[in-house]
Amino acid sequence: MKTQDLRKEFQVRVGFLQKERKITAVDNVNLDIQQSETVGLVGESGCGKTTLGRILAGLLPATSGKFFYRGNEITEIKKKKNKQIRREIQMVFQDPFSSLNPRMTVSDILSRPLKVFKIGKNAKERTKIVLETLESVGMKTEHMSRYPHEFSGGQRQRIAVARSLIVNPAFIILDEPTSALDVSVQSQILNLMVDIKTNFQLTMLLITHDLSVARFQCDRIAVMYMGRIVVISDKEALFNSPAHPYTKILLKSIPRTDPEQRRKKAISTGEVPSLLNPPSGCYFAPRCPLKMDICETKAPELKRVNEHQTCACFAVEKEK
Amino acid sequence: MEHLLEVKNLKIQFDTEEGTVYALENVSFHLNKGEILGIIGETGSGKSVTASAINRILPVPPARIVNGEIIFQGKDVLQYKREEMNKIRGKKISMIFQEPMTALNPVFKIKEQMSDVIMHHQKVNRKNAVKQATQMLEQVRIPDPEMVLDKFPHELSGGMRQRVMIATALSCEADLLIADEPTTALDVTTQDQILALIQEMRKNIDISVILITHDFGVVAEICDKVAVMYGGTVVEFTDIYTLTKKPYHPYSNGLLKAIPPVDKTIEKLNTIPGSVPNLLKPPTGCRFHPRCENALEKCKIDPPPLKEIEENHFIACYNPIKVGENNG
Repeated sequence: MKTQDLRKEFQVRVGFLQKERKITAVDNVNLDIQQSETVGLVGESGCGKTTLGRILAGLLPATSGKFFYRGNEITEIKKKKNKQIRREIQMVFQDPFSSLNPRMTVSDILSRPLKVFKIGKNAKERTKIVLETLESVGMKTEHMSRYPHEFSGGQRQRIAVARSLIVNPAFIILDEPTSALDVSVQSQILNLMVDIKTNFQLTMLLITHDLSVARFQCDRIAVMYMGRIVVISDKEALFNSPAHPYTKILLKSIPRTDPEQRRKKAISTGEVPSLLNPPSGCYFAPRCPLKMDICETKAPELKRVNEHQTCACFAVEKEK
Repeated sequence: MEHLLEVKNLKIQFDTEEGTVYALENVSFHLNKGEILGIIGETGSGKSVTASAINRILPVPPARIVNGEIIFQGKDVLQYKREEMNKIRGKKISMIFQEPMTALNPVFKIKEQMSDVIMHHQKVNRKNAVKQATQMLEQVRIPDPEMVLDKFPHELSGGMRQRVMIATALSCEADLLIADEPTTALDVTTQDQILALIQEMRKNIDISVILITHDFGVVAEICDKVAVMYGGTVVEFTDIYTLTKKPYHPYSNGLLKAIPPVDKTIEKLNTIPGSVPNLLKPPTGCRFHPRCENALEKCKIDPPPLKEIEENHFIACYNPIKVGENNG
């Protein structure tokens, strides 16, 4: 998986006169994902992480830029020949309460993609595949004929995971898969995803706002801020020696579960600026403790800092 | 020393079309002046019901207070008449909510909303009320109070709105602030600022706070004491340092270990099997027993009472985790 200057703009209407304005939700993103790797895409709300995920899943067209899957360019999503590729890329959504059709039984929900992609010769064979997949996510045969509302949030998310697995995908995009769940259930789903990744030899993109979830699950992590990727880093390097000032602030802002590690005062200052009216230069500059003159006029590009991290920051570049 | 607030054996049920919801069962805890108490629990644990009961904003019916007392400054809040309670709510006990956009009225400017509250509780005119509102906004570190006062709620960011809510809640010098998931809708960097603000307010005006959350990190960050709730019961109640070092209740212990750590990488997370109970049909005995590794026969029949097993360490469990085996 590879993206090249991928960009998504939305037209929005604002104000009393409903003037049309343009916002850039995904701003020239370049991201590679290697086979059987789990990459985390983290950032605060509105940073464009979900939009990027939806473009990769083929649910939204990109405004410009390209993306490649196993060397094939698949930016144009309507083409028929891309259907095979579409099967290989699946997505799991945040809210298992709205992502499952309430009028369909679990068996219907899971057989539908099999029919769409013409997998399995007949109904009997399809039922067999449904059963096997259900088992692989820790559900039982008797659950087949039930409706989504009969399940708890955790079970529903298992069904959603099963639906993405059933077509034998190679690449799964997980959009905040556990943020609607309670902690005790979240840990079940996180463990499940680690297991299926190994069992099904999957490549994953995990979209999350929770850095501790990313740390548990990912090999590499990309940090987004206002539509731009500001850091791509190996997991351990990101947590142990964060280079970008935004990453540092983000990491320090997360409350620790050990009261001995309390901080005395707030780490961060300011708020995320509006995409309607972004600052010139580096978007993080207004909040950045390392801000220099150049940051206000020019946007930094992603550059390699060391073998583990690339980073878009003039201050980091200068130090090097 | 007399507690500022003491909740004793609170039992609340809801009569719904589907049947009776056994929402709270013998909930007890207390809070001293100047303390921050965290109430932590998952969906349906009863934490929000408890908070609403203290401020008497539960709709009765469908809610029914079956039993219990809520002693605030020496008097039982549940015994107050409606008019008496109206004088206490907002004046002595204030509350802020998860989503400040729904708590603020979208068609009035911040100026009007804040000064209305001040004028309701104090004998001041509009001009002085606005002046007071300006001072409050300064206190919650809003950089340009006059400008914010002149705005509608939708023109402010989530973090700003929550600051306005806190300023409004504190404008009448309340003694108790109940914060129901105040940072759940916010990003971590903003959450960090709001938590720091709550701590600062506690220090500056000596207010007591009940902070309701599902996020253990938030509790560990700013609370002095913590009550862990599960399925409508308090299962463990102690100070935060004790709880993180030696949780005795199997649920608290399991919960602590189920949180993915941000400061180290681990291979496998601890899980608690099953999911939270449906309180239309709560399990008999201890409500946690179907998911509990330590469950005994007795746990299935008899609900364990909340007992003080060490000084200021209360648990409701017949077969607690032994010291040395815990350590969240």
